[in-house]
Amino acid sequence: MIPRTGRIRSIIWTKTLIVAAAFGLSVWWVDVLILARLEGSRPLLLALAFSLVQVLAIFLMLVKILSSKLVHQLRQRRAQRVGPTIRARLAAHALGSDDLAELKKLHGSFPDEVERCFVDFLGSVAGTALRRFSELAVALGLAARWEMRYGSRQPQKRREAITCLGQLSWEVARKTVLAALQDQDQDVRMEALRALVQCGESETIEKAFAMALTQPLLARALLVESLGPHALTLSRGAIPEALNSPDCETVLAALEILQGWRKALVLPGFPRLFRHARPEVRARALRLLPYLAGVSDAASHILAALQDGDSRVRSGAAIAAGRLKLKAALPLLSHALHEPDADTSKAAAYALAAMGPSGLEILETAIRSPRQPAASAAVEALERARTDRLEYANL
Amino acid sequence: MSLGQIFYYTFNLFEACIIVYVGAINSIYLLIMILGYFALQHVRARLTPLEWQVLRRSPLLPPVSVLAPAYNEAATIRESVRAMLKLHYPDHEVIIINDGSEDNTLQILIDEFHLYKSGRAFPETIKTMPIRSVYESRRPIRLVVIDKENGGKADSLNAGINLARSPLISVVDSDSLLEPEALLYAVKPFLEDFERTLAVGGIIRVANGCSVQDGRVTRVAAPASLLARFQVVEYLRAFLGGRVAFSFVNSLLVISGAFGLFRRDAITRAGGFLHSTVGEDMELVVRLHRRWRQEGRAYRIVFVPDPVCWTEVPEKLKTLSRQRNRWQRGTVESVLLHREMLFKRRFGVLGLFAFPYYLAFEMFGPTVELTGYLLTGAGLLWGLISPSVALLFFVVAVLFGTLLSITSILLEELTVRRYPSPADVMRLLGAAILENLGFRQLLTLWRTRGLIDGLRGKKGWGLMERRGFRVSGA
Repeated sequence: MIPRTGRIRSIIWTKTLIVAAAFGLSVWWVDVLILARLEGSRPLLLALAFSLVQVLAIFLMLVKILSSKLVHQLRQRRAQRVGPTIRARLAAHALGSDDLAELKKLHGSFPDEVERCFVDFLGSVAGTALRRFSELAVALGLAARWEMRYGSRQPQKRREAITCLGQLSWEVARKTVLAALQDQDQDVRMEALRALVQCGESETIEKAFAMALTQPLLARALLVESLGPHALTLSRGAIPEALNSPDCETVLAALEILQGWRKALVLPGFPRLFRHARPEVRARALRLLPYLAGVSDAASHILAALQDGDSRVRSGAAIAAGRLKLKAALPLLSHALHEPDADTSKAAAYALAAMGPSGLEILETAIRSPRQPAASAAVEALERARTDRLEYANL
Repeated sequence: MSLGQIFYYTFNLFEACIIVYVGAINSIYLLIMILGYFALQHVRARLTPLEWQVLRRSPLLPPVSVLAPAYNEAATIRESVRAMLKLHYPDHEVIIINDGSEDNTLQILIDEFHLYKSGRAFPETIKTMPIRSVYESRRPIRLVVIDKENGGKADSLNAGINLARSPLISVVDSDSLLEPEALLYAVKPFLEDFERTLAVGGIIRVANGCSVQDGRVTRVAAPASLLARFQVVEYLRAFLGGRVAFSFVNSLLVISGAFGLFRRDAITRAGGFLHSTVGEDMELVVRLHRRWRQEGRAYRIVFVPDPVCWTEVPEKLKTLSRQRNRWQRGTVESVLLHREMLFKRRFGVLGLFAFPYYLAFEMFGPTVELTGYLLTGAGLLWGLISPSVALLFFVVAVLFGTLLSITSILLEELTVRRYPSPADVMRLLGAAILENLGFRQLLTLWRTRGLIDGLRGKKGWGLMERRGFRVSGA
């Protein structure tokens, strides 16, 4: 299968070459069949033919622009005329009254307006109203229309279809949304994932979470908020499974989502990550540590990590020590402050600043040190502590 | 054959070559515009408004440091900084680099934003002119001001890079106005593929004639000044056609200094912005291409048409000529510095097409065209060329150019549609026609001068005048 990007590139090139070829043929046609009868130099006639064809292309673009504007205006006028009636009927239906017959009549006359208003309403209904709307979508044939639209070759149309179907009740949309998870287009898959999360069933949430880990960061960035309410459910199965994955990228993606939530979840087996083979996993797990609940012996993990061979891990450990105000880490933090790596030194300085008087004392000694970056990190951290701006650490 | 005949034939041969050359530029540009149009339909942001809202709050978006060098920007600095602080992005800081301003830019910033001298540390990863002080705000806003000795834009940006801590750096001009969602749109390619994406450029639009309030463009309108309208046409042609197409083939050579988003590690790895060129924005992008291709690493440098930056364009001929001279010098310097890439297969489309295109058409094109005008005029006057040859030159140089300009306005209407008023669209169409009857010829003159200055090694920016933005209702 040609990758999505490759396929799109082929489409773009094909369209360009077709238009260019059509342009060239038109120039030839105008030159040979029309302008050849005129007297004059061949190059000049060819150039004029080129210009004429371009003028024609401009004319066609103008026609397209004006007709689009006209259609848009007509649609707007029609929407202004019938929109309020449709919306009133839909609102009444959502509240429990039976407006099906009237809505069918309106749908028969103004199918596009009814669909547009329906989709606008869909985003704001839940519970019983959503169930009524889902039944209404089936009754009006909208659900079938969207399912048919999902069969389109254009990804944008398929995406719109999934966006609409994904907002209906799960029983109505299930089959198509699940099929969309395997769609060629990333945006369509993304929309299907959102629909899975929206339906709220634990099986689909877990499926959505697992899939989100294999998608680009964009998918996780869009889903992290909607997955948040299901964090507790996910912490019992999908999250530990992801954290135990042999694939490092999956583990990192799961940690990324956990970092975004910053929820006090209990994750048995989490300390195993502090001994992971990859330093970026260890570092990320340490940054997350202060937010989790029930991690036994957190202090010893942090102290061990402050002596890790990788500076990123030591930096993560320093951040964790600062957030947990781990006084036992003071000597190791003092040592980390004097490291040549700027990030580790800075993380250690901020951790010391968060410790209170004992940490501040170490910083005040360090500012007199000729060694960099320790001295400048200490100056910055001290100033932040004194002006109560430790949260602007940019760590 | 007599000397006179040799001269006659040589003159006509030269004229013919110029006609072919100019015709080729405009034809290639038409092809680029077609490619750009189809590419634009696919690359435009496809997230829904609701998804953009969700993204705006997402804790997973990488932090961004917005760098804005400022030199004598007292007229516009307040509005610009306020607008940058109010960008719709979950985690960003604004770093203004006061590059030894001689007016009261720094004092305005100190007074307006309650700045104090802070102890924020930064490594001198890239060498810069000495830093006098670093200021931060007493208010809970993420603003940092670096006060340094004058060293130029590149030097200022390097100082900002040293101070920045975010993985992404946004480079903006301090007199530019970013739309609220600009960073969000620009960051999307990084979210799709962080490892491969090195830099993202956005579209620059002309703010002249638009209404501005609280650092935002509230009403888009065509400029009143004809000179500014010509530049609107030019910008549309360059961005919606050229940049989209070059980005599509991963050969985007310019990300405007007015707005760009870069991976910080990529810039520091490449050595930062170069001092010795006035086209530091183009030079860095070319250097990134070169370095990554030399190392055989997969990468992309992307143009996305959605993030919009508004900028004030010169409305005086003298100021405009200085600007175009500088841009041309920048192109010359970048091409010469990296001429090793020309026609080399290992640099792919960039080496075989994009870079030679810039050399042949962007660098020398204006000079060839100017030569054409002079030769055609002289040839007609002295009877060395026939009227049909002169007409042919007019068709390929002026008529083709006019049709391209009109096409770019219509493409804008077909795709992004930022000018809501039909009257403004008509004004721009009028400007697209008039642009090629005088303005374009002036440009060729300035750019030729720029080419000569660039080849001679002239440095310096020249004086740029700022009027400030017109406030809504004023």
